[in-house]
Amino acid sequence: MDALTRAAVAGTSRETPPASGLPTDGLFESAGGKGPERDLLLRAGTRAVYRAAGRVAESGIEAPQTAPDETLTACSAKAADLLHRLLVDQRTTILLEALERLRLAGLRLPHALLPGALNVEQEELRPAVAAVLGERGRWLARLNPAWAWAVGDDGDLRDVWDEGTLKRRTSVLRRVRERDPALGRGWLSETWRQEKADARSAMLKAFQENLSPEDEPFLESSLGDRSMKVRAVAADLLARLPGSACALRNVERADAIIAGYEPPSTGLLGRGRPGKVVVELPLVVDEGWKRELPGEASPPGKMGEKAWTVVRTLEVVPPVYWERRFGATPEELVAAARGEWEAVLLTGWRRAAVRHGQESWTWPLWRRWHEAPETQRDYTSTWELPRLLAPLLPHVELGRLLRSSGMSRELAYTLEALPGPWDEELSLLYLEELRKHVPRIFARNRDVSDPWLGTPQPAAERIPLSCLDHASVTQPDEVLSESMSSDDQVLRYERLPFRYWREKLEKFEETLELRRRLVKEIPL
Amino acid sequence: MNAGLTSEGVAALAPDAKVAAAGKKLGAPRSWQSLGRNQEALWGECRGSAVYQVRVDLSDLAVKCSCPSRKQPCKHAIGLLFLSLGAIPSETASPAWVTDWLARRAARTTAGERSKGPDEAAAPDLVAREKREKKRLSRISAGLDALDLWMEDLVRGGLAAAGTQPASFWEEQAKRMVDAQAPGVAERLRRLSGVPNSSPDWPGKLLDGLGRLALLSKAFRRLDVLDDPLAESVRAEVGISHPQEEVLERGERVDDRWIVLGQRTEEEGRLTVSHTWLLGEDTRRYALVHQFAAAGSPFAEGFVSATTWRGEIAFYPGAYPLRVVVRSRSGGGERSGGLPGYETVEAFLDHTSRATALQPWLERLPAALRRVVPLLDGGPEGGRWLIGDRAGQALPLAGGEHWTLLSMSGGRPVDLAAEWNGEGLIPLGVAAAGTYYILAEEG
Repeated sequence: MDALTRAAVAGTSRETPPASGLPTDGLFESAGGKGPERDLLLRAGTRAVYRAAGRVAESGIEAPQTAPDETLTACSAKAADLLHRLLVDQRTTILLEALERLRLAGLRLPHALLPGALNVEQEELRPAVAAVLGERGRWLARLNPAWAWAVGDDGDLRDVWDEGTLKRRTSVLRRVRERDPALGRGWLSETWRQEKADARSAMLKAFQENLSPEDEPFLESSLGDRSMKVRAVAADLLARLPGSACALRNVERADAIIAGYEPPSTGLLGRGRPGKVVVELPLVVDEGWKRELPGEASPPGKMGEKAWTVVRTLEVVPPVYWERRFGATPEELVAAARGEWEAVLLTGWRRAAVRHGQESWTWPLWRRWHEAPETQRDYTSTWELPRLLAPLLPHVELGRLLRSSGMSRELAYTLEALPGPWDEELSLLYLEELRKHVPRIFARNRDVSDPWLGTPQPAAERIPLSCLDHASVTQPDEVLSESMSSDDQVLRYERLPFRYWREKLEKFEETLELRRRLVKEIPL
Repeated sequence: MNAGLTSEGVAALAPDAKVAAAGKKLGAPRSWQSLGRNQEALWGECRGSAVYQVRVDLSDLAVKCSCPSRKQPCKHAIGLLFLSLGAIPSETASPAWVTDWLARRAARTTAGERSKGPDEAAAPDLVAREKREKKRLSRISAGLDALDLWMEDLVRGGLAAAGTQPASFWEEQAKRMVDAQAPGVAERLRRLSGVPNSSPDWPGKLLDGLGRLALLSKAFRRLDVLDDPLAESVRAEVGISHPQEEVLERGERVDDRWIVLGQRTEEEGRLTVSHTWLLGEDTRRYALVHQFAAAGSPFAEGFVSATTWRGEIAFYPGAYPLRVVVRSRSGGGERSGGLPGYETVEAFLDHTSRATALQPWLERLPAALRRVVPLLDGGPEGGRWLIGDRAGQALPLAGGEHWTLLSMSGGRPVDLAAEWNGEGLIPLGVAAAGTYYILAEEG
């Protein structure tokens, strides 16, 4: 701090202001005699102006290397506008579609959008962004460590591993595992003992990349880790290795739980008996068993501890194992899960079907839930189950069910969770049913819990591009004005269902229009 | 039709995205029951919950609608503009509700020349005006006397103590200056209230600001010995401004193709204030259009950033005139190519020296710098942002991070338009690869 400012900070009552030493000091000598405060202020003012007028440039600052020339063309200005809006509004699904389309069209993002695109937080968007960055985007990403994900900068992976934050070290470990799983395992085992529990569990998760039987010894020893979180990750990974000793022990345990299967019998005079899966619960569950199971240690909801152990044990076993053991189809086995342990069996099989990606099981399991959701209530929330199964459900079957039985709450939740792009047949069936449904809302009075309400938005985002042009649905007021007197209309307008629907369909149409414009502005 | 208007341009005229979207929807012929245009205006009747009469003055895109919406321009006006992009109505005779409105607007802009309404009688008006003016000057002087004492107390007690004062300490003094009819001084005090503890070198900045204020106060008592232009600047800085009509009539007029470099809008209490920076292609003059509007109301002039238009502007008087009013406008279109501007940092600094010497209270100076490269000194975390010219000379950038600017440049020279605030350049826009692009402040 210079002398003049120091005097001002301390106050002239304590410190006499010195001359600033600049030529401007002389300007006010003639006007002196008004006290040191006035002097100080005027001197400071002239000094400020003097400095502003005499500002000099800096020099010797290194210029960045220039970016290489682009090899791809940028998208059009109109497409850029659309992308900009999608980025700002964080419309992940449509943004993903747009970026993908950009890549297919052989185009890149315009330079002005690069920082915004590199700042996307959602992991699922990042590969799509990385593919359309162009030379400029990769050049820019190298200048900011927060954007390192976009360039896969290999030069100093080891440095980051040695010195980076947990988040960056974990992502580096993943990258190493992608290319050389043994090397990644080696790096982690070097520092394993010094890492904190949170770090150990986060890093161990990176073994998902290129998981192989070679990882088994390391994982097996991690089952004895001090931290429960680390043990859970190890158990989860071992469950993905069907041949691992740990998985086989669990198959053995599961084998004892599902003691047998009695196929349905036709019987005489139509007195047939449905099939039944025979369950025998274990008497004792020791610690060794518990720690070899994936998932949370404590049971969710109203489930008992023993039931939770059974569910997690069944989860490890690929459902196809039961088909082979009992020589029965998934439909038969699912139908035979009855009696006291019905919910436990179904929950375990659902988790197993998802873990092992067995679509032949997900559809019968979903139907079973759809027919009698209340029997499952203690074990799964209405929200969770469709989300779990949705990625493995047959779209066409869902469409046919919608046509034959209408929109149930369960079906609606499932459609909301059903990832896009939707199958074309399902999309057409959905749109047809939706058009039939809209005029019906006028028959509803106070009831606003219409299961349809949550579905138009996901549908607008996920129906395939081929359906966009004939997807529009007439707004309810337009339906209405054709069929009613105006007094009647006003009355009906005030009703809640009507207002909800109007809003939903506006949003529906807006989303469709956005996607139509994307198709137009990013031609393939 | 309005040559340069694009759908992006129309959307930018809307007060918010919602109105833009609603307007877009109304941009279909079926929403309109009558449409028309002539050389001056565009109009239509929009079917909403009632029928609204919408009109657009094509010379400056001013709009008027009979709807009760508080947001201006309303969705009907935006809708009419959208519609005009696609389906241009054929030329017809204008109905009375359009002609009347245009006539009223014309009357307002030429009010100074033709009629002064009720207080017409010129001679007594002049006397009264002189009397009012004298009264105001003496009120301001008295206010500034009090301000001088207040500032002297401040430095006597020390700025360290001022740093612990609540915002109300500054606000009270600012209010007194408003009461003393010196709103320009009040504005400076309000800005100073944000300085304490805002940066490590805040005492120096606060002292600079107080010093400039002391200089302003001193200069005001010597208006009679100052050159006319500088006296005008001092009056303007204190907050005495000329009526717009007077500037339109007597201000220095400049005709050029004006580039809209960028604009800023700020809420000040119940007012919305907008600053629009213009740059003349041939004259290379910079100009600032300063507009006020009640919150939610439209500004008298609508500008679309990064476009150009041909027209005549009139400068408010001063030693380094920047503020203008627009006298006439026509045409308009997208801006392409580089910017006219300073070729080196040195040339720009010479210019700021001259400007500061002419008008020492200048706070923000517009500048277009040609062929500069954005620099990031010391890495992204805690690094400094600058721009450098071909001679290796550099100036700091102000206002956060500048990744978009860096991205547009790719390490190659670009033309930058910015506001110089005495410490750094606040980017307004950048011309790269033939396109002028508006830059918003980044975090």
